[in-house]
Amino acid sequence: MENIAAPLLLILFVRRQIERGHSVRSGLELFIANSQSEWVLEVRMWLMRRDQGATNEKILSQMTSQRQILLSVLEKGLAGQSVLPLLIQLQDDFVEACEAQIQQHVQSLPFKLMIPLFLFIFPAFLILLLGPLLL
Amino acid sequence: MSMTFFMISLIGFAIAHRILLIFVPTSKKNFVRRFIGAFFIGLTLIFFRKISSLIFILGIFLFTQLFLSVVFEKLRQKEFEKWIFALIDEVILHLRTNKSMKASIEAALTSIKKEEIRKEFEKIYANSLNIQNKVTKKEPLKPQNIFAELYELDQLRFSTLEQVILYRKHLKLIYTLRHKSGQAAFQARIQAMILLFIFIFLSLAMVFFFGWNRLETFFVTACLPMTLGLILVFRMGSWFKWKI
Repeated sequence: MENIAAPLLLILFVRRQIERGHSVRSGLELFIANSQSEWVLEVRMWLMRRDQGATNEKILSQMTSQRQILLSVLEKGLAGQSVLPLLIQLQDDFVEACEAQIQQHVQSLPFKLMIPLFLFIFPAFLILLLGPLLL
Repeated sequence: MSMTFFMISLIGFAIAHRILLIFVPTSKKNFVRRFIGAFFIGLTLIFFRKISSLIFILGIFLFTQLFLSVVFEKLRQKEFEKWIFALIDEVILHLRTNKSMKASIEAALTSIKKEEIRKEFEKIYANSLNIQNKVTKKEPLKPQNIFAELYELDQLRFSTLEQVILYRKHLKLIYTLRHKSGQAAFQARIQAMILLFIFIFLSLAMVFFFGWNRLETFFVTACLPMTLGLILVFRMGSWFKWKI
């Protein structure tokens, strides 16, 4: 599992850099250099196209609404606006969303675990228990 | 046929190599691990007479060796994570008394009560002082990255203490989120461990009732779906795609 959702990790990187007195861009670059998530490629593309002055609508349309909002906030930050309070607010919302998703996963896991249990582990026990008796 | 003999002799060579490695003076931990390994191989050679069973069991053993090294590394990292917050708290305390960052870190290191952890941290700290040992920030909770970050914070123009407090908050959030997302995986792993123990005890009971010779084929056959099932249970806990 990616331990932390990629958008939340991006917020953490950018927030950290702003708090240290660096720019939003340095936070984005740090995220691109350090995150192992697949979303990095999209963020890199988004940043590159933004720097070239091209539109990012196509890339953004493929993302979830939360990611779109985050990138629009970062866009403002790259333009020189103060985004730290917004990022803190977004971080709290994202943490809540992540916790809800984890809870959902924990609840559905016992049912999903039935599959390997019935397909592999149960037959293994049957072979071990009934095999010597049938021989 | 000659290929089979060649393969078996290769396995034999690998086993002999591993056994001989015991006598190479290394750390105490490695010596114990290798001794247990050699003991297990010895037991396997005594009990499993069929070549197919022997290859199968030794295959599982070698696979477990690879798997265990990853597990040990993760456990070590988790142990570090437990202590890292205590260390940063101590650093903050010393910084409040107007000590420099270097003096605060060194004082904080001496305050760690568990000797093993203290020694490891001191080693990592000494390494992180070396400029040539560049660290990556891919793993924010690794001690070497934390020492490097603390040094970087010391270079900043504004309040170091405030920055360290913010950094601690940042790390705590990462730690809490990781801990929560690891809950599901932990649940699945516990289930897999319980199933494994039941399987082992059941196998022992069956050996007791029917004898090894009658059970050997069934045991080896049952091991395959069991291993597959356990791997799946282990993996399913962490199969998770973020929707945000």
